Amino acid sequence: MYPFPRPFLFSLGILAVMAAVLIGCSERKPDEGITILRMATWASDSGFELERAIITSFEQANPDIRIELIYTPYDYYTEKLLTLSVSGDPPDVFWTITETLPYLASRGVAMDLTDKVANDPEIDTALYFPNALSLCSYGDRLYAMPRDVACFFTVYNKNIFDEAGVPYPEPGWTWDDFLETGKRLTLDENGDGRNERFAMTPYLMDVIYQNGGQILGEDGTVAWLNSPETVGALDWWSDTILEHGICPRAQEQQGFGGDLFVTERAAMTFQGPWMIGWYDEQCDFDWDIVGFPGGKAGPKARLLGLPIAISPKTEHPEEAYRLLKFLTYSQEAQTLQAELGIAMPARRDIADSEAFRGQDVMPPGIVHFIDAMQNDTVVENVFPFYSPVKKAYQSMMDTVNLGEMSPQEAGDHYQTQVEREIAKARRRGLL
Amino acid sequence: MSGAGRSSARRREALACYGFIMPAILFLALMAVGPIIASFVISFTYWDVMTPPQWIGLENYREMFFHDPLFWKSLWNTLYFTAFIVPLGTIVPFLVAMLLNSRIRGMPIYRTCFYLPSIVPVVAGSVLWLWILNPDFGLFNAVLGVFGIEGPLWMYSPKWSKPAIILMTLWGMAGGPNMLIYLAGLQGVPRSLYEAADMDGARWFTRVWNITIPMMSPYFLFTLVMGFIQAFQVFTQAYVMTTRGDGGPIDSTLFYVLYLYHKAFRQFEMGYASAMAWVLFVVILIITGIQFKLLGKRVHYG
Repeated sequence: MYPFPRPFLFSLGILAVMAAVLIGCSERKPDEGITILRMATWASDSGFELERAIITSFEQANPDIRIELIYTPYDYYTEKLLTLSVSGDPPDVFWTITETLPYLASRGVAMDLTDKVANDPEIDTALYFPNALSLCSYGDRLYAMPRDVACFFTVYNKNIFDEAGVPYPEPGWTWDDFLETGKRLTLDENGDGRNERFAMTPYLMDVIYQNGGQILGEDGTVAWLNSPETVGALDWWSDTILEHGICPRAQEQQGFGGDLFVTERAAMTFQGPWMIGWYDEQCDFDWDIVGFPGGKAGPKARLLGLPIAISPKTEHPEEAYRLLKFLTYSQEAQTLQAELGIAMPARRDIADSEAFRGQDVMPPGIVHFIDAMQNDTVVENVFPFYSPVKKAYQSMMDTVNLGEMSPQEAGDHYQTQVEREIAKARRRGLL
Repeated sequence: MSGAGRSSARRREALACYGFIMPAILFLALMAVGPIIASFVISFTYWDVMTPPQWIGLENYREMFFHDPLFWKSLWNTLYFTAFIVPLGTIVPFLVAMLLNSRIRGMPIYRTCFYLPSIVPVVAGSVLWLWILNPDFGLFNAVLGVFGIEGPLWMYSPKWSKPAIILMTLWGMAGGPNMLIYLAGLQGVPRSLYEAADMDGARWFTRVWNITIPMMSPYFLFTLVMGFIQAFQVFTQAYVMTTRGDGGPIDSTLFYVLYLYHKAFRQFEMGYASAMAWVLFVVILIITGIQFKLLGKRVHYG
């Protein structure tokens, strides 16, 4: 009676319905005359609201464009971005993590903006902080524009300094000054051999730059893990923990619960500008900021930032560029982000104005921070194969700080590991 | 009815049967078998997701076996974990099941208490244990301190981080699915056997050794095989309990699957990660084969 048994048709029917539903899902209905741009970010919760405020001001000025924000948690951000790109549905505009930008650039996920920016008469790149564009470049090409920039600096608890009778740190202080100051601030009140108060919170990578080191050389073909500069920096830093005891071990900082600096368990901390508002709320004591203590290469600080990129596959390159320029260059957005306390603007004229520097929460030492941003930043040498390299470096640090190996032994051990990664990157055409 | 008619009816029946299972088969082929075959092919390539794969033959396997210390380290970490968690994860739930099988008042409450940890999601449990095992302020070292023992650094020490994860995993397993399986098994052991043993004057240990354990052997085989497979795939605990899921300190909790994940989604080496997956598959296949060979004959199926 039937050419096929009924269940067979039934199954086919179900499959057809499923297919129809799946196809239906991917349909999007654009409004008449309005371009929808999708922008990927990792800003969450309150951060998301603030981002929305900037976006709203863009939409008001550009009624023909509407922005859809895509949120992905930071830890899965790059994974998601790549997945969207591979599936042919990348966001038009997206935030990037500086350590992955070279990878994205080399794989064609980020648009080459070099000529576009160079030929844009409205953009004067000299208005950005020094190195801000290097942070957005790979090779000699520009793949993103900087929205925020920052670096770490020293925050100190004035009350503890007063109480210990130690003079405040001043710009131009050195590693020796740090050690001297630190020893006088460290306190073992009950004499049980464990400090109740430390001079400083744990390690920062910047120490290796202050000693003239890097993880990889400039063109990425040389590993510098066992160089005298890198080993010397780790040597000096691990001594502050293991020998002098003025900085806590990893478990000690964890054990105290919360921020060591806020709970007055540490007299100083290395932090970035994003912590200022929070310290202003949380600290019951007087505090101020000053630059890093200088090593033999000076008070160098690693430049951090938020590069924003455009997908080469976007259907609306002009609109995407308008948004990018608004976020990273316009007086309006850069001022707004400073005033809302989102982040320090990449434009130095705006960072060095009342909008940022003049906010109520800012301590007087903020000028030292801006000074450091003008003079002392270093850009980390990052390459498309950086992830395993950075991992090896983290392990090297842990090995030293836990006292498992001397800095030189650890440097030599992980040097070979990183050299192997370099060789592999060469074979794969990543270098 | 003629013979031909019967056979055509059977054919129709068979067709109907295939029709019914078709959605499931298609789904399986599309979502499971396809990717499995694809991953085998990908394991012979260098593929970073964004650019087309490059065929590199056996290089991923060569790299893995001869040039990648982290591969061996992750394999060692996983074997270490397995060597402890499989026996402990068999014995402890069995003991708990025996306790919960005894007849005392308020048993439902005890059963609930023992079962609770296993329904806590691994992520939540891991965060909880991170606090419990905190070297300075954690509950665990505080209790040890009462007995004058200075507790180790747990997750901050490359020597103690694996025991910490084993401890945490065991907490979730003690009253977990294995315990439920044993409990069901224990209740299926015929009472008459115990009664007979009682009449012969057998003591508790003799009864357990000669009756309970042999009668439970099919359950042990099942949980052992599954236990090995699960232990080799340990991931979440280390991912949650270490900084940024790095498998630290100093790669001491970099388990095999965690490393595979790093390769695939942090370093974007899909080919290498696929090769690792196939090596893991072969390792598990061999171990499962050995288990069936060694234990299969000794299992007593009622």
